[in-house]
This record gives sequence, structure tokens and C-alpha cells, in this order.
Amino acid sequence: MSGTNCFVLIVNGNLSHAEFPGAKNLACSYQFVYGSDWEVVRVTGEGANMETGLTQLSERGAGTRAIYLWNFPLEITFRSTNPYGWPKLCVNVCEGNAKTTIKGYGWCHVPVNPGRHSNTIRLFKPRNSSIIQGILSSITGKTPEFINPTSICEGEGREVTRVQSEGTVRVVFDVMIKDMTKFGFEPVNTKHHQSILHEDEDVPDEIETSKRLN
Amino acid sequence: MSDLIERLSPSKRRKNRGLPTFEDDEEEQMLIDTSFNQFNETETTTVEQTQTSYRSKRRKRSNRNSRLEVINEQTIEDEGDAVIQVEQDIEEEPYNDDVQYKLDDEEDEPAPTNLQTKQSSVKIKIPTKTELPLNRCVPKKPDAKEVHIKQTMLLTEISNQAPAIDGLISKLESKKESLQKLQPQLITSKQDVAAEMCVQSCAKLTEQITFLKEEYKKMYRDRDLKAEGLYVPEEPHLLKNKTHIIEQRYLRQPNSLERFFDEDGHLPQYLDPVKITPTKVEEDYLDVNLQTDPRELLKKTETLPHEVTTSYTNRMYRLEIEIKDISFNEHEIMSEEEYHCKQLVEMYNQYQELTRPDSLYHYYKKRTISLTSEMKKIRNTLQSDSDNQNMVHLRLEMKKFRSLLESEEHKQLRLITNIVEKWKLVKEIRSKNQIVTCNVRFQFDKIHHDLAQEQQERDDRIRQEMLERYEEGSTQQESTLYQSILDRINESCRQPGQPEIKPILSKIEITKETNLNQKEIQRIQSIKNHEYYIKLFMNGMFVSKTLSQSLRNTDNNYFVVKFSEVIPCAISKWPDSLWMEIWQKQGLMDTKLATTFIGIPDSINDSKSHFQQLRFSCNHQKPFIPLWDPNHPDNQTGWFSKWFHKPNPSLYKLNNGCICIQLNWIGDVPSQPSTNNRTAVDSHQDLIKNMNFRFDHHSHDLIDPNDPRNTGLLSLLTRLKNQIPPNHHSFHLAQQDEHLFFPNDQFSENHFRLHLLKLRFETKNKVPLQIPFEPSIEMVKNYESNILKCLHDDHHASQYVRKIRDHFKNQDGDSSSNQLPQKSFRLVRNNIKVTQYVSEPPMPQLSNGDSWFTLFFEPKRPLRPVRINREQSMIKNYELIKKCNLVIQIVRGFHVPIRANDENEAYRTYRSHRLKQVEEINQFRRTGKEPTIDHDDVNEDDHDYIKQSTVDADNNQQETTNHSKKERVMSFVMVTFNNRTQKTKINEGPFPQINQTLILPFVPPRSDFKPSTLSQIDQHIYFDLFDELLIDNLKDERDIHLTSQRAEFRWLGSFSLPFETLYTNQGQIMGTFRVKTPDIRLGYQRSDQHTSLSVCVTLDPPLPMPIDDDQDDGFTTSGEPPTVYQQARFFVHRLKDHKYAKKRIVLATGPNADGQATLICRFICAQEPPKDFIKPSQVVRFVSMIPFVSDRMSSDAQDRWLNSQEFLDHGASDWEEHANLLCNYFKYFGLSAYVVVGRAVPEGETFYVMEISKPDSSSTLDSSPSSPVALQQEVITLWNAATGDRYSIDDALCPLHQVGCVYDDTNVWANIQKESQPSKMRFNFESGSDWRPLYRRGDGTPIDQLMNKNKRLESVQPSQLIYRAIPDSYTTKIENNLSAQIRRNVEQWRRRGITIWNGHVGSILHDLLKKLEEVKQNNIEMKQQHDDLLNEVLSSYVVVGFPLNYAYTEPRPIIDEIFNTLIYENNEKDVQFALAVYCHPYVSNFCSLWVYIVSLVQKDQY
Repeated sequence: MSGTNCFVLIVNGNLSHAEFPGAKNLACSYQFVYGSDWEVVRVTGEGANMETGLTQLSERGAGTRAIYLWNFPLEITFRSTNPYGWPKLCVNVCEGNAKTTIKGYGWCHVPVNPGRHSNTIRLFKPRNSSIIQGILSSITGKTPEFINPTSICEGEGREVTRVQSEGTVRVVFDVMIKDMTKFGFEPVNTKHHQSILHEDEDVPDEIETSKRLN
Repeated sequence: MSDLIERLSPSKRRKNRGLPTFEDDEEEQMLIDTSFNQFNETETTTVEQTQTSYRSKRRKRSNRNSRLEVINEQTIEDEGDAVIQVEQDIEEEPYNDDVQYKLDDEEDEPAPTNLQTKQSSVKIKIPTKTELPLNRCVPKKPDAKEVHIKQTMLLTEISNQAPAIDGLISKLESKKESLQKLQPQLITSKQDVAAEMCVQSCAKLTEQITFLKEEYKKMYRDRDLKAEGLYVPEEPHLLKNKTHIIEQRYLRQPNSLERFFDEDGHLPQYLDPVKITPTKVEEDYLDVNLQTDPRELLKKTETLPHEVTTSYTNRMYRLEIEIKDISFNEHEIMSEEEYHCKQLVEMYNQYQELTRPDSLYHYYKKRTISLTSEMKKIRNTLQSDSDNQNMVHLRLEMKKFRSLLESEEHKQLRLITNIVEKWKLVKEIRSKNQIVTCNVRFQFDKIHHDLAQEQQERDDRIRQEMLERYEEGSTQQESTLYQSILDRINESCRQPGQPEIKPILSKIEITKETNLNQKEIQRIQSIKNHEYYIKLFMNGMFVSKTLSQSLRNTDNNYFVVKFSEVIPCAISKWPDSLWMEIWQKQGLMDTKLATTFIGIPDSINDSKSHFQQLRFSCNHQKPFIPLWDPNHPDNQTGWFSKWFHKPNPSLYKLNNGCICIQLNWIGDVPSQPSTNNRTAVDSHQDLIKNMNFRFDHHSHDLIDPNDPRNTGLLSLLTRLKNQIPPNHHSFHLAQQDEHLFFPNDQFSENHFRLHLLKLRFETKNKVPLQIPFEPSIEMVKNYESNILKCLHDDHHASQYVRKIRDHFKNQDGDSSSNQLPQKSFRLVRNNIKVTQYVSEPPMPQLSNGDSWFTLFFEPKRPLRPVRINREQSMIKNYELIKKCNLVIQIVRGFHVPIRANDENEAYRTYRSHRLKQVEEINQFRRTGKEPTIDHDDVNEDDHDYIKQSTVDADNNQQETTNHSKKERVMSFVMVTFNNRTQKTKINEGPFPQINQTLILPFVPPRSDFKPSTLSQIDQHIYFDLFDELLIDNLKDERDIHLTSQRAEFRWLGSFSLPFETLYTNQGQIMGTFRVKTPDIRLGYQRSDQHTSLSVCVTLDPPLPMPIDDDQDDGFTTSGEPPTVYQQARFFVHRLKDHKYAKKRIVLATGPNADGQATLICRFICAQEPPKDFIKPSQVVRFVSMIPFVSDRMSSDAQDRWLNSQEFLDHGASDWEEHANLLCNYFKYFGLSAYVVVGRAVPEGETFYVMEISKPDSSSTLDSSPSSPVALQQEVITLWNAATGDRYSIDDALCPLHQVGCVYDDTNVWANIQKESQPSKMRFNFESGSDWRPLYRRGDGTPIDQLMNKNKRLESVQPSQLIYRAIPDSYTTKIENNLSAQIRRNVEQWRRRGITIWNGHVGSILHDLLKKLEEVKQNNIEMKQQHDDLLNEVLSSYVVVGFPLNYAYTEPRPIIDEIFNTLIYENNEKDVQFALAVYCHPYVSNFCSLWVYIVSLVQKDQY
């Protein structure tokens, strides 16, 4: 009974880095958003099982590329019986100077296929609704923010907001799925998928920069 | 060799198609032959083509052997290595022509991969293969596999040969060349034979090469599909050597031929499926088509490609729009002559049109003639029914054409008369202006006709018609019928005999410029300055614009803008809309004049001259008045009429004219969208219908059936054609929802959670419960029942809901009008605001003027808070108020008592100091070392400590903290309201800057914010001022390392603010309040100044005020004569309008106990105080001891003025009674006393008593130290009668801050001075500019009616007041009662430890209190006496405490106040308390109550 009452989605991974032109330092807070029929499996013992988290504040490294490295681990396990409300990772990036200002929001689904996935989350942030407010916010540093950061994971009310695009966040997921076939869902062939995904992965920046130097 | 070549393609081809191969050659051959015979007989032309190719192959086959021989000979002779090699290869070949004639027909056999394409295409164009007999050649294969292998081997080899053959040819050629070179050499070297041989072989070789080449071409690449009319997509370009490399690579793979090569031996090259079709039509692509008519093309205009869709076909239709010209019929600068000439020319053109030989007129004429003859013919031979029938038809037709003809004739006639009239008008104008601006001239030819002949014709015509009429069955008389027809014809036609007038257009000389006047020259020049251009829009998008051209006059045509431009448009489908905008160039800003929509022709125009005339009117422009019009401003004489004359609006005209354009489709015409389906959203049904429609439309020429890209479409179309009707439900996803949600039924039955989820799904989220992962069976049952209930409820859903639901359902079904739900949907969506989702710093309020901007530049001063003025309570509806807070801001304190140079403190510091020293000495003793401290100090007698310690303490304090010890006080304020307490921080010094805001919640009884209940609240806000004393608790020398301190709160004073006054003051009280301090504060310096606190109290939010009745007319009845009452009212009313006095409180009448308006002066008269009181100060004391109760609190919340006797009987009342009584007593003592009406904090509207003592009068009050007065001046003192406080008129902290009016027994004076602060006012009532009296004495005002004999006002007061004495038993009872209560409460408040009451000290205190009461009455200093009495106690105890004095009403407020003093909060171990209660009786139940409470700590313990 205990083996078949749900399927389990184990997500490991990390919030790797952000590419963000025009920022000094960045930290990222994340939150897993999932449907009401889902549940986070709390396992006692070792291993962080965090629905939410905040990374360290990362200064921009040397070099021309604006990369902010976090390498922040994500470890979480979900379980459910039906895939509706599949977990999403909601991310918001903020710059921490004298006061924290939100630089961008973004989200992505936790991959549905087992295996390693590296996703690039493109960020956006709401725009000022008028020029005067834009000027004021540049003076005061109070930029417009979403009242509920996870509202970007839903479609509701998005049509009234105006956003502008910002940088990107790279997230790497290692997904494992257990017992899904028992519930009538077939995960996609992993082999095929992996081969595609490996192409997608980034060339490490170090190599690139060293190439350029040489 | 040729075998080899021949074999290549067909065999391979067959192989690739996966067809069975034939093992038995002969059998196959036979089959083929037979099939061929039949072929020949039945084939259509297409097949014949293949047949011929077959025949040619046959021929080749027969020649094969001979050819090979030739090659052999050749190669032997020439000893060419390569050739030999080839030859060997060929001979090694085991098979010759095994498969080669597997017929080309097969090529048409559909390949399995694109079976559908072929089928469909075949249906359209090519005869189906199924008819072909070839299908009979089904092979019977015993061992297909073996053959297969063989075949593959062979094919591999052959393909290897292919480049070899190429190589062979090239080698042969090179050989030939070398032979040709060899030949002259041989000739020169006289080797004739060899030379000849060479020549021969050379010739042979050339022959051979050509042959080979031909064969190779024919067989190896024998098909040119393009030439055969099949579609061949363009292959992407690839370099030859690259192709070769790739081919070689593939060939190394096993089965390479099958896998990689097509039947031609090519590597198949596929079109790039993701190749982006260019969306912009290239320029040259258009160029080709622009050259259609070079004559017409003047300029090529740049075009934006219009709406290019990436449809399956990137076919573009081309629409050419030729814009010829614009001609204005009316223009603002047209002259009258031009205007009329223009019309004339137009009419002439129309006339020309009408009289053209191919015009309608002629057509109708001919038609009628032929019809008549026809009818005549039938009439003559009228026999059968069919003829009759014909006649009826003919008659109808005749009727129709006759009327048409007549209308044409009429038109002509009218036109001619119009022309003639117009011409006359033009001539008139010309003669009037004496200039000719247009070269139009008309001449009229008169063509005379024979009258008789014409009459005859007319008669015939009428007769003819009459005949018809009679045939129809008309019963009219002949003559009348004749006349009616004649009349009609005469109306429309020229009268017989009249000459026919024919206008002829000719030219006339225009007046030369030199003869024109200046105005006209200007006008003509300005014509050229008008420039116009046209913008073309298609589907709402801008396509192109023409060059701007100027307005000109040409021959016979005036005000024309010639464009002659062709705008080509490429478009992928039928345009939705097409319009032009006419723009006028005007300096920098161009103006739009008009918009004209253009109809799009639905076919290709044949005639080039088919120009459309589109009328337009410049409705975007201002209307104008024609120049020649007398109303035109230029034609007005006189400046007045020029500027101010406003002509009749009907005279205004708009520019209008025609655009002459021509639209042409070049090439094909796109299909017009069907108008029905255009707006409605396509359902899949519509889509299919549309598809069908399109199929019909496109099938003829638009879809290339051979284009493989159309495969899908064609198959779909065929399927659609065959399969009707389509499945209606196939598009509904809802039926599958369940399968999407849940794995399967079997599974979910065993699985509780899934079962529950399924149930939840069924209820459509009506039960949005979270379902746990491991639900118990109970829960499942629970849930099930819940859901069932839900479903049940849903079944009984309200009619309304269902109605609406049905409504929307119906609307949805009706696809054409589902606007309502859409609208409601939109409404719902529109309600979303960004602020619900995005938080943003708010927009600065621009409405507040410039303030927001200056905010940036204002200096920020956080230490200087700015109080924001609050708007008056806007909340009228008290039900909306949920909670309310008391916001109390304590700003600063004044004159906080300073600690006296306290002996106790000095002792304490000394002691701790000494204890430290003792410890140090002990330490040194232990270590055996000499302490550095002076021993004498230690051994000193304890009794000398005071002297010593003061010095020590001084030093100590100066060392540690640099505070000046003298002014040491650490005060804080505690605010108590409704049993809730808040404290400020501790501030040092006698003038603390507190600046702190405290918030206390305010909850009215039952949370009811009704104004009526709020005004009944009898609660006080207590402000208590404390001094926090930190006491070093060191008692044992061994505890030297411990720091133990005890905080002791010393109560310094308090004042209270009734909530009612706060409420009636509109929720805001602000000011500096005198703190009620005890008369004696032990341990503190007595200061002459009164301690006060600056406080601001508000309510947040402001509470609604009770609705005030109009106060003036609040009296129901008047106790005065009407005239007096009127005067009093008039007095008050007039002051309402006064510049300064309008906001001050001015009274003339007050309601007496019965509510009758009574003149306030009548409340004042001298009254005798009780017998014991012989001094005014005693009287003050007595009056202040009469309890104070606001009128609002008592009885019916109406203000009442009681007379003194009623007041004393009542036992309590508010300001005016106290003031009146005090004033009356003062009068009794012969003082000049007045009652002042004004505003004060915190009381609000209040009454004070003012006493003016003349400098020379001896009977003034005792001079108090607080008001040092120069003897020469009159001294004015204000008394608060209810509290007994006295204020000098110069006191800035006097709570009375606004004086409204002053009255005494003689008159009322209203303050009309600018200042209302008493300290700034003048109190000379005689001065008319400062004070306005109610009446002037002796001037006969109505108030004189109230005068009695002594010329004084009659008083309402009784002449003699009756006082009752208080029995002693009453006071002792109160004392005992109260002291018992206080003791009990103090014991309760002190939760830990036993409370010891020191009776001895208590009795001493009781004596003290008696003394204090005396002091109070006589207003004298008694500090010294007090200290003397207490000395005994003070020597052995540290005494902390104070006496309190009250006008006794009930014990509760007294106990509350004691609670607030925190005197009981002494946690010293052996603390004792002493309490004394003393009740001093006055008269009539009034007594002064004293409470003395102290805490006692033994000095040893301290």
C-alpha cells in the first residue's frame, strides 16, 4: 500500500548563476510553488529540504561577462497522485546595496522527465507606470514590485502588468521520478532526452575567457 | 558496356521501390511484351510518351552486340589500359540484360511512400495506373532473398562503374586528341600508313565517344522530369566535388545504394523544411511584372509589401493601382468663371458620352426598332398560343425599352438646355468681369429637320404604343390615350419641327496677364502653390504615397492635379479594404483633405481605358465661401463687415472633386472571401466548409497537384470530399478529461486518494478540500457524503443561477451574437487593477500644488516634528468605525520639582562608598599589605557621615557624571486610560523634552460608537508625572561585586482629562496643563512655579460628533419679556458677524433649571457665604470643594443654569454654577468681580471668575507670591472656581486662552478686541472699541424693563442662601470608610510581602492634614511647620509620600488616583506604610477630603 499510494518526484540541483548586465551584486531567493494535491516529503535526517531559500549575495566577478555565481543547492522531494499542479520554481533576484531592490522575477517548471536538466530562466520585472514615477524611483530606489512574488507563476492578473526583461538565471535540476508509471504516466525516454540536453549545456565560462585571453 | 549503362537506372529504380525482382528473364520478357501490346492499343498520350522511350530502348538493345564489338576493336588497337580494364569488367559481368526492361511504365507506379499524392494527382490529370495491364505482372518468386543479395552486389559494382564510365569517356577523348596530334607528326615523318591508321582510328574514336555520350545520357540520366511536365523542386546547390566526396563515402557503407541513393543514382537532396520563406517580396520580382505597359508607366513608386502570409503557397497576386489625376469641381480659389466652365465642360463630356454611336441611347433605339418589327411579324402571323406567349414577352420588353429610351432622350434634352443656360451664364460673367480666364467657348449647331417627317414618326410611335395598349386590354378611348402618350413624349423629347441643337466646344483667347487686375494675378499664381499627394492604404496599412503635384489648369480642364502614377501592390489574398487619402502640402504640416474608399475589381480588366471616377469631398477641411460670392470676406466693403460679417452657413462649401483611378489585377485574381464567413469565428465545421469552398475554387489552377508540398492539402481535400459528414464530436476534449486525470477505473477503485480526487473532480471543485495522502476509510465516507450533499445542493441551485447559465449557454450556441458574455467577461477583466499585483511607490500628488516638488529640497529635521493638521471628522456614519485610538503626544514638561539636596541619598552614597573601602581593607589584611587608603577615614564615627558624605558625594558625582546635582530629577509621564497604562521614557532635568507619542486603545462600552453613548462616557485620562530614583541596593559588604539597584518611582503630580471634554472638543485637545501637585512633596524642593506638561491628545480616527441642535433657538420658552429676549438674541447674532468675535463664545442668555432662557446677568448678585468664611480665600476653597459634574453627565445632557440655592441642593454642577457662586461671594465681600466666558484647555467652554482689585482698595485678596504686583496698578486675577486655582492675568500658562464675553450683575460685554488671550487684553469695559455691551444704561433699551427700583437688574438668585451643617458622625464615617478601603486596596496591589501599616506615623499625619486644611483655607506657607512635625519620623525613616486633597464625592476616583501614584510599589524588605484620612466638613454635605499616604523605610535598612 505504502509503495503505491503516490508517486515521488525528487529534485536535486542548484541555482547555478545569473547573467545580469548592469548590476553590482545579486542574491536570489527561490520558492517552490505547487498545486494543492502535492506535498513536500519531509525526511528527517540529513539533507536540506527547502521549499524556499535565499542565496548569498554574489559580487560580480572579473571579466566582461556579468556573471554572478551562487551554486546554491536545491534539494526537495514532492509526492502526489496526479500531476496537476506540477511544482514550479519561482525565482526572484535582488540587488543588495543600501537597500534591497528587486531586479527580476522568473519561474520555470520542475522538469517532468528524469535526468539532468539545465534551465535558463529569463527574468523580468514590472515597469513603472509613468515617467514621473520612473524618475522618482530612480531617485528613491523604490522600484515597483509584485505584491505576491509567486503570482508570476499564475496567469491571473498578468495582463494588466507591464514588464521589462532583465537577465537570466541558470538552474540545474537533477530529477528522479518514482512510481509514476503505476499511475498511468510515462516519463519520456531519458536517453533521448539527455542527449539533447547535454548540447544545451553551457560551455564553462573559464574556458571561454581563457580562449579569449589567448 | 551499354548494357551496363542501360541496366543502371531501371534496375536500381525498381530496387529502391521495393518491388519484387524477376528471376526469370524470359518469363519477364514475355510478360512485358504482352503487356506492351495491350498498351499500344489502349494508351493515352501520356503513356505513349513512355512507350516511345521504351521503343528506343528496345532499339538500343538490338544494337548492343555490334557496339560492343566496336569498342573491343578500338581498345585493342589503341592499347588503352583503362579501356581494357573496362572491357574486362564488362566481360566479367555475369548478367546482361536481366532486368533492364522492367519497363519505364513502372516509373509511374506510385511509390509506397507518397502513395496518396500520386493517387490524388492521378485522379486529376493522369489516367490511373490501375487501368494499366501491367498490374498483371505479379511475379512468382521462389527465392527472393538470394536474388536480393545478388542484385545488391551487382548494383554496388555498377555504381562503382559509373564514375569509371565517365572516366572512360574522358580518356577516350584525350586519346583522340593525342591521336589527332600524332597525325601531323606522322605525316611529317612520312609514315603515311601509320598516319592513315591514326586518322581512321581517330574517326572511329570520335564516333565512339559521341555514341557513348549519347547512350550515357540517355540511359544513365535518361529522364528529365521537368521536361516531362512534372514538378521538380529546385535542389539546393552543392559543389560538385563535395557531392562526389559524399557519394564516395556513402558507397563504402554496406547497402549504400539502397540506403542513400535514389533511383537515378543521385544522392537525394531534400528541400530544407525549416527554410524560411522570404516575407519580403524582392524588388526584381516585382520588376518583371511592372513592365506590362511601358506607355502608362511614368514613375515607379516604392511599395511596402502588403500582408505577406506564410501560407502553403507563397504566391503573390499583383494589383496595380493607377492614379491618373484629381480634378476639383469646387475649390476655394476657383473663380466664378472657372467654376461654371468646369461644369460646362463636364456637361459637355456627358453629352458626348450620350451621343456616342455606341451609347445606350442608340442601343435602346435600335432595340425598340427591332422589337417593333418583330412584333409586326408576329402580329401578321398570329396563330398559335406560343405566338401569343411571345407577344406578351415582347410587349413587356418593348415597354421597358421604350421607357428607357425616353429617359435617355429626356436626359439629352435636359443636358442640352443646361449647357445652353450655363453658357449664357458664363458669357454674362465674362462680360461683367471683362476678362476671360478660361478658354472654353461653345458654339451651337442647329440641325433642322423636316417637320412633316418628324410628325409622322411621332405619330407612328404613338400608334404603335396604342396598339400595344389595346392588345393588353386597355379600354381607354382612343383620343385620350393618344393625348396622354403624346404629352408624355413631348415632355421627354424634342418637339417635332424644332431644330436640334448640338453644342460644339471650341477655344477662346484668354485675357493676357497684363490686362488682369492684381487680385486675379495673385489668384492665378496661388493655384500653382497648391500641392497635393495621395496616400494609399490597404487593409489599414500604409502602402505608398505619390509624389506631390501642384494644381494646374489645362486645356478644357481646370483645377486638376495630375499624377499618372502606378502603384503596384503584391498581396497574398483578397484585400479587406483599400482606400486613398488626399493630402495637401502646407508648409511643414500636411493636412488630410479626404478619404475615399476604392472598390476592388473582381476580374482582370481588358480595356486599358477603364478609369473609375471616384467622387470625394474634403470633409476634413474647413468649409469655405467661394471667392465670387458677395458674402466672401474679400468682397465685403468696409472693415467692419469684413471682420464681423458672418454669412449664412448654407453658403459654405467644401472642396470636392473626382479622383480618376484604375485598378488592375496583373495575372491572377485572388479568390474573394465569402462574405458570410468573414466575421464569424471559424468553427471546425466552418473550416471544413471553407475548405470545400477553397478546394472548388482552387482546384482548377491554384494547386499544383504535382507539387509534393501540396500532398497533405490534396489528400485532405480528397478526404473531405469523400467523407461527409465529419464527426461532430471529435473535437470535444471534455469527454476525455477524465482519462487525462485518472489512470484507469480499476486503479482508482483501490486507491482512496484517487477515488477522492475523482469525486472532487465530479463536483467540479465545489468542495475544495485538501486531500491527505493516506486518507482513512472514515474520511472517505465523510467526504463522499459531503460531495453527495454538494451535488444535491447543486441540483437545487437557485433558479436565477440556472437561468443565467442557460442564457449564456444559448448565447454560446448562437455564434453570431455572443456579445453579451464577451462584454460581461470584459467587464470582469477590466476590474483588475495593476495595484492588485504590483506595488509601486505612489504617484506624487500633483493636486497639492508645488509642495511635492519642494519636498526634495526641504531640510530634513527629524528632531522637529511637524504636527499635521487634521481634517474635521469626515466619518458621519459611526457604524463604519471599528476601532479607535487615543493618540497622546507629550511634548515637554515645565518646572518639574527637583530633588531636594537629599540627606537620604547622601547617606546612601556615603555608605556604599564606605562598604567598598571596608572590603578593600579586608583584602589587604588578607594579603598582608598596607592599604593606600587613609585609616582615619574608616574609623570615623558614623554620626559624622552627613557632613562628610555631602562632600564625598559631591566629588563622586562630579567625577563620575558631570551632572549638576542640584537639578537632578529623572522624570517620566505615565498615562492611564481605561485601566491601560503607557509610559514615556525617562528624561532628566526640570524641563524635560519628552517628545513622545503614546497610543492607547479606546473601546467604548459595547463597542458602540454612537455619539449619544460616547458623550456619556465618564472616564478620565490620567497623566502622572514620576521621578525615577535608582537606589543602590548594596547592603552587605561582601556583595561588593554585585550591582544591585532598585528603582523607586516617586509620584510628583498628576492631572486628569475627562474623556468627555476630549470628545466634545472634536477629538483634539492641545495645550499646556498645570499638573496638580500635592502641597507637600517630601524630598523635593518646593518651587514657586507650577509644574505643567505640554500635551496633545487626539482621537484617531476622529469620532463623529453628536448632531448639535441650533443652540440659539434651543430654548423652547423664554423667561424674559420678548423684547429683552429679542435684544439678547440680536446681540449674539450681530457678534456672529463681527470680524474678531465671530468665533468666540458670546452668551446673553442661559437656560435656567426649567430650560427657559434667562439673561445671564440675573444670575449674579451678592450672596452671603456660610458663616465661618470670613475671607475670600476661604470662599474660594469652599467653592472648589463643591464637586464638579458636567451637565452632560447629569440628567438629560442639557445645559442648565442653576441658581445658587439649586446648585447647593443639587450638590454638584459645572463651570457656570461654580463661577456664579464664587462671583456672588466675591460681590458679597465687596470685590469687583466678573464672570468670564471663554475657552480653556482642557475644559473647553468654561467660566472663570475675574477679580479686579483697584490699587487703593484695602480689601484685596492676600497677595500671593506668584503674582508680585506693582502697587499702582490694578491687579486682575482669574479664578477657576471649580478647582480653586488662581491665575494672574499675566500668566502665559493660564488655561483660559480665549475670552468671549464678560458679565456681571449689570451688563454683558462681548470681547471685540483683536486678541482673545487674557494676558494680551484690555479690561476697560467702558471702551466701546474693546468691548460691546449688551445694553447701554439709560438709553431705554428693553432690558430696562427688568430693572427694579434700585436700578439694578432683578436677580434670579434667592436673597438668602440656606446652608445645612454637617454632623461629625458623617465625617468620621467617611474617614473610617475610606481609610479601610484604601488599606485594603493597597494590600491588594502589593502582591508580595505583607503590608505593615504604621499607626503611629498615621496619627502624626492626621494632625498634619488638619494643619494643611487650615493652610489651604488661609492660603499661607507651611513648609516649616510641616517639617517640624515630621522631624521625628524623618530621623528614623526614609519617608516617601504626599498628601492628596479632594472634594469628596465617592471613594472610587480617590482610590484610582492613589493607584496611579505607584506609592505602593516599594519592594524594600521592611517597608511600612502610613495612611491618614481627614475629612474637613464645610456645609451642606460638602467636605474637603485629605489623604496622606507614605511609605516608610528604616534608615538602617536603606
